[in-house]
Amino acid sequence: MRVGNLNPDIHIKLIEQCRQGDTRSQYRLYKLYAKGMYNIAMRMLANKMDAEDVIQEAFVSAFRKIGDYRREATFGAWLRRIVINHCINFMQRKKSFFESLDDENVEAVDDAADRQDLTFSPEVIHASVKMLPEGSRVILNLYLFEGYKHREIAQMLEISESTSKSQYQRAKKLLKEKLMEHEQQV
Amino acid sequence: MNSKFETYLKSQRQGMDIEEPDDQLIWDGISKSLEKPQINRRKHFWKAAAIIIFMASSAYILVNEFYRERPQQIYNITLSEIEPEYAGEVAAYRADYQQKLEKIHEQKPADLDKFKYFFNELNSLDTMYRGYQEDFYSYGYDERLVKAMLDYYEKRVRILDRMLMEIQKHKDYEQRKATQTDI
Repeated sequence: MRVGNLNPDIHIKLIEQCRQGDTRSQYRLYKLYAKGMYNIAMRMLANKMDAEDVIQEAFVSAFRKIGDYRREATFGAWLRRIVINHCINFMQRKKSFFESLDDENVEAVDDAADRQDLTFSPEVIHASVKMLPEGSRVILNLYLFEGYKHREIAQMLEISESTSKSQYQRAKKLLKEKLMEHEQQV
Repeated sequence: MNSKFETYLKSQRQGMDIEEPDDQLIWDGISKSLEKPQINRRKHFWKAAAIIIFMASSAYILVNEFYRERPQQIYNITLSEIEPEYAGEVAAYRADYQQKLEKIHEQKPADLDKFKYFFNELNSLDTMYRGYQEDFYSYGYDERLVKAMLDYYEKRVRILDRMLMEIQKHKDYEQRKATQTDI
């Protein structure tokens, strides 16, 4: 069940109570969103401990800034943005992240996957995404699963739009390879 | 345009949240962090700004007061404060000066304009005295300065003496003139 589909009235009440610093409401709100946010962090960071640290930081930040939430977007979207920003900040603290984003030429994408019936399970896709190289993995997640545009990704990661596009192509190619490999093994 | 592959991946997005977080561990960390007093950067910014404004205003007021007070101090300091040894002499001169001033007022000279130059002399003396006071603040104690200040008190009395004499002379002249007219 996606958290965004829950009754919005429950959220409004919970958010109001969280604004007043009610710990029980904070825990209830955490429980509603924790799994979804944790999985985003897992796909972005591909490391359990890092994801736990980032989720903790992101929720603390969200509860402290909850007074700034203006309902312009759903609470889930607002929280997702915080989680993603924390993931990016976390990775940007690591030198390897910038190195992994070096612009490089990517061969034309093999459309083999487009020609066959796609039967990969969500679990396999999730696991395969986590196996991608760091830079391209982040861009694939942001573009494909979180709905950001390359222009927005370029701004968030302080890279050029063309780098974002080429890294996405690379990620897509690698993901296809991994999924195919998995299928062959099965 | 999205390829079939991309469209398929997107359609699987909802089912991809499969991993369970360690809620106990994460929530413990969250609640501990929330218990800590929050460092509110915005609040700190305003606090820092308020302190800076307060310090700047205080400094401005102090500097302003110093420069505003200083001339007053210059003009208020007396020879008795600079050189207590002359306090008695200064007090005597001042009392003498006050007495003579009252005498002038008692005599109510009809035409004060005729004695204007005495007042001008007194004003010039006052200006000179303020100059001595400024010199004292600028250069410190100097015996010649002390003598000049003492001289000021004496001269003031001498000017009023001369003025009283002039007033008397004028009165005498008016009286003689009146007597001659009567004869």
